[in-house]
Amino acid sequence: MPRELITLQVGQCGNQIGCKFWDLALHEHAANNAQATFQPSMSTFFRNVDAGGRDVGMPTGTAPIQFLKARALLVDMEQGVLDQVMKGHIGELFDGRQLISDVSGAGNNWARGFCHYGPKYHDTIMEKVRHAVEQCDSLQCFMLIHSLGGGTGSGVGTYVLQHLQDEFPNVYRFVTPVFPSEDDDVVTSPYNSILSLAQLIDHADCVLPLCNDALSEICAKVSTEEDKCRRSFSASAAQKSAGPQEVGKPWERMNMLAAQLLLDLTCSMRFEGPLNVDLNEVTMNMVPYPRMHFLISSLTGSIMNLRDTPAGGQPASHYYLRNMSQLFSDAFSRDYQLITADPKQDLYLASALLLRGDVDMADIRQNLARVQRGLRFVRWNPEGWKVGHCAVPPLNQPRSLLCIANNCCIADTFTELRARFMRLYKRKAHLHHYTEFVEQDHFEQSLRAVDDVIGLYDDARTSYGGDMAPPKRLQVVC
Amino acid sequence: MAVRPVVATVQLGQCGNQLGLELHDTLLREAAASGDAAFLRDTQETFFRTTETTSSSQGKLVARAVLVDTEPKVVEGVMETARRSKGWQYDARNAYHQQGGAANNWSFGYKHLGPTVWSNVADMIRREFEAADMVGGVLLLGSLAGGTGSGVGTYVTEMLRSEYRKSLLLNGVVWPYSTGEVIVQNYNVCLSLSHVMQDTDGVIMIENDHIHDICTKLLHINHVTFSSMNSVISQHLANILLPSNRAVSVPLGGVSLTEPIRNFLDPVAHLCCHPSYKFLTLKTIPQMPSNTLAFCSNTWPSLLKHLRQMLIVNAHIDEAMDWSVQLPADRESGILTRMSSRVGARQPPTPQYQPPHHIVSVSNMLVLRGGQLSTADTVPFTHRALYAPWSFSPLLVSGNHWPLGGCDKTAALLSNSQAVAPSIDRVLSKALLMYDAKAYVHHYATHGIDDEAFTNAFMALEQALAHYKELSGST
Repeated sequence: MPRELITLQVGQCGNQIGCKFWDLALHEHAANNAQATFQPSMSTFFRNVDAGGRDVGMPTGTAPIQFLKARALLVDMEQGVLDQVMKGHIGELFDGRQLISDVSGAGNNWARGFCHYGPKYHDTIMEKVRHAVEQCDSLQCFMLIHSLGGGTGSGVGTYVLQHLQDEFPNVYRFVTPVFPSEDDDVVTSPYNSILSLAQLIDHADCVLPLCNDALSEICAKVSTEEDKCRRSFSASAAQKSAGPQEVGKPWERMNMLAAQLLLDLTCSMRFEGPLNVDLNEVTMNMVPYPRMHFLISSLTGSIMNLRDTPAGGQPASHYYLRNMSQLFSDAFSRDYQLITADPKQDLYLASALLLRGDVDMADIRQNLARVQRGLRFVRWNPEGWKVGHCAVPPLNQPRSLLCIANNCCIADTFTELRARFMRLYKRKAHLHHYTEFVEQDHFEQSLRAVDDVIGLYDDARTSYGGDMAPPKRLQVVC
Repeated sequence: MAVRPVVATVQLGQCGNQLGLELHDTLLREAAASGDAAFLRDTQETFFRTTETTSSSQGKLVARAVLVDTEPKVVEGVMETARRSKGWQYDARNAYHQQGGAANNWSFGYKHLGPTVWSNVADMIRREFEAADMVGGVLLLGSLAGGTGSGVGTYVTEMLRSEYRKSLLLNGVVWPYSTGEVIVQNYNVCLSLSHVMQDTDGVIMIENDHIHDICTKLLHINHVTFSSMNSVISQHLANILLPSNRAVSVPLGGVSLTEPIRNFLDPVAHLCCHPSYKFLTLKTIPQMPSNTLAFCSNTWPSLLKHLRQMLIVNAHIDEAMDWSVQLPADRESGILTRMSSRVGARQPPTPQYQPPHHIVSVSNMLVLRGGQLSTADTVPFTHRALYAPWSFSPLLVSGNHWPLGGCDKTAALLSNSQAVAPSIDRVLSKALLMYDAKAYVHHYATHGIDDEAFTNAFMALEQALAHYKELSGST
């Protein structure tokens, strides 16, 4: 049952998240595949190949797994991260042909990425993309994972995005960009972000931004809750299974969150369920107007096993289960949003709930009715929800909820990025690094594009925030 | 033995396929439970065919069905479930699925995917018809919220009409929960209904809200799933699709069964005799949890009285009904005196007091299954005030001695009436509210559904609605 998705991980951050994603994906599929046969669900992310690297027939569920290869392209203009990936335990998922690298790096300069490395590696990258596409039977989507603050992920990433649109206009382009935090140590990150954002506005179908601050806060919160649960559950059990308080580097846990987002977003594409949701349905239901395709996500349930990676140790989820109404409350709380935002205080244009595992319709409807009362929706979509239910739960948890919202509070995130941009731009700080590659007018154009989208969301707040006016009915004569 | 006209089912999308699986299973199970060989044979011949017994394998019972979807998982799952656990299966050649899904986009389903689907599916349907001695018609099952059942389903309906002008087409359409399963569901519902009503012979409206209520309030199911809802819907449809005989009222009281109804879709033609009135609702009584069935014994008078009131007030469940709504006095029928003694005093209409409005029908079909039919008085369903003045012979009664669903007596009412109006009105209002803001229209425009197409769709539904509302004015 091929319905493939090709991942493009670009830059240091993109590749680190990407690797965590592949690790989790393998574990998720392994947990649902006792016989180690190549299930149709696996063909979304993986190919089954023989020793010579050739695809082994169509996935029927009975063929044994020989060698798995990820449907991915790994791009970085430095070699450090990619080398680590290939040496690591998931290195076997990739062959050399899936990597594109250089040595010098993009110097945290979007323009160097977009205007120098992009064109330099254009042919190589696009040829490898085409090769990956040919290995697909029915490609659904490209997934771009990158950060906006640096040079490679932002510049090369958005360069590739544009060309994906040109060459494969019918394949959806989903992007999970990591927005830089206020105290990001890359000085030019505001420039890189705004310049990238302008590209995402024009060339992405759907953008699910992530923010380091928010991810880090969620990790801290979940760890605290887990500790409390462990302690209350059993003192001796807690002693046995707890290692040092800090298990894994903070970045690893944050990357796991991002990886879980991608898994939960695509679970319905891969596994069966009573109410399937494909990625094209997400675009259809969540994007009411062109260019307003920036969606805020929140994850609850599946993230409760952050403490221990699945590879070793007792799953912490053993101690920390959330029931349905807790999941729903968490999903709309500012504490679990994957960017720093509080959508509850602002206007919702659309919202999607993607549930996994052991949930039932009555519970969903009841909780929906309950949370809806506390939310403000546009007047033309007073009860508009997209609901999906995948039967297969996430790893180590009985159920989870991924909430994706198109909410006007994203305009505030953009405004804040814009303010940081202006602080540099007013003084023309570091501009000469960029004007080596682009005209200064490009900065103006990008700013205008971002302003336009901020304007769209602001307009929505004013025009659609009020009470429902009765619709104009057509007069008919029988 | 008379040749029985067959009914081919086209199962569209996730909902249509999962419902279709449950429906075929229910039909076979209920027919087998009757213990009557003729009843079982008639059911089997209509909805199934038997493959030939060869030297290597037994003849198998194969559903006369075509499975269509725009993504693979459900069709493959449904075929596998039938093959593994049921005493019947689907024909492996009759499944067609694509990969990408219809994106909940009616225009994508209708304009872009429909033609490809039809080019594959037309042969499957032709093969089913050629395997039959006589074709009764086609039953299409699908939901209206998404893109496949709605968009592709509309295209398939149109193609079936143009290819098989004389066959009956019945669309069983599932309405999504009004609190939302798909954000653009109201657009998809409006676009589907406005198109389909031109080509189909009848549309049976099945509403998730209603089915959910039945599950929770009457059947006391704690964890309602789509699977439990599909069982309930299948039970309802089985009432009207299983074999039955025409029934006539006899002077001594009750009904008497006469000749069998050969084409199960014929009642549709009867109910939808007027091109402006194509929408049908289905109510059944009683609805009881299975653990209480054995202790319950209903009488026809009681069942029919409740069912009639469900019709009059447009209730989908027999609970907390408004019994104060009654039909205007009709001295000729003299029915009202018996009814009014039931609850309170009937107030005479005065200029200040206007009696609450009752549902007016174009026509109804009443199906009674169970014993003691001589005690079933259907005359109250012929009350003039229930019908538009231009309806003649507006009530068709049919029945069968074999009970259904473990219940000793069941009554089902398939109605072409104003009962459809509130739902159509609600969906139209919500769609117009969204359209007013031009939300999501760019997704539809990408595949050729522009402003004019939307306006035409809304207009067609407004007209249909106006026709139904007018039924009251004319009485």
